Amino acid sequence: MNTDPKVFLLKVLDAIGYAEDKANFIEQFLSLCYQHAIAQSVDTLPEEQQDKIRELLGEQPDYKTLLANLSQYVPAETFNLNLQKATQEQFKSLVESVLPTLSNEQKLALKAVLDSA
Amino acid sequence: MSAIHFIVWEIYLITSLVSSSTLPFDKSFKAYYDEIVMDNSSPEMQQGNESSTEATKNWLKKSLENIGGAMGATAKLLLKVLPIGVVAYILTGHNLSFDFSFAAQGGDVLGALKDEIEKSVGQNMSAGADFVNNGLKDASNAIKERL
Repeated sequence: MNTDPKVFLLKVLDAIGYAEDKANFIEQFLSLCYQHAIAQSVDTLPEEQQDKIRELLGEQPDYKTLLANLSQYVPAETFNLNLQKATQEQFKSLVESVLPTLSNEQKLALKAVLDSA
Repeated sequence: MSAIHFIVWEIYLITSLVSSSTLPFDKSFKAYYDEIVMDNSSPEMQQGNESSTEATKNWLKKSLENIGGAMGATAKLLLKVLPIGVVAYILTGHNLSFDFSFAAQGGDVLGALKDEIEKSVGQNMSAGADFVNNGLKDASNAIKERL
C-alpha cells in the first residue's frame, strides 16, 4: 500500500462516488481513528496512572516532560497496535454502512481499490 | 452486440416463445433486460452517488457524535489540553518534529508547546501512518470477500 493512507482513502471515496469535499472527509476520518486509539490507550490504564496523567496536564508541562511521562505509561507499541485496530474497525464500519447504497459498478470499483490495499 | 447481450437476448426470445401470454414474465424480463443490461447508465449511477454520499456523511456525523461517549475522563482531558496530532505524535514514539495536517484540531495548546507546534504543522508525513495502513489493509481483506 502507498505510504500515505490519504491516497488510499481518496481512491475509496472516488470508487463509491462521494461527491463532497474528500480531503475534509479524510481528515475527519483519520482524526476519528486517532481519537479512538488515544481513548483505548489512555482510558484502559490503571486508575493510579490516569490520575498521574491528569495531574501532569494540570501542571502545564513542557514537551520533554510530557513525552517522558506519557511514553512511560503508554508504550509506542501499545498505541500503534491500538491505532491499527481502531483504523480497521472504523474503516470496516464505514464501508459496511455505505455498501447497501452502492451500484454494482461502484462495488466493482471499490473491490479493485480494496484489492490494492 | 456483445456475447453476453446476445445470450441474454436469445434467452429472452426462447422464453417468450414458450411462456403463456398471460404471464407477466415477458414484460418483467424485458424490463430487466432494458433497465439493467442495456441501460445501467446515468440515472441509477447518479442516484447511487447521492445516496452513497449521504450514507458516508451520515456515518461520519454519527461516528463523531459517538466518540465523545466512548472516551473516558483522562482521554477527554488530554484532548482538551492538546491537539489530537500532538497526542498521537507523542504516543507513536516520535520526537516533536511535527507533521500532522490535523494537528490543530481540538485542544487548547499548552503555552510551552504552542510555538513549537505552530512552527512544525503542515508537513506531509503522518506519525503512525504504517499502522493506519495496516488497519486499512486488514479491513479491506475482511470486506472485499463480500463484494
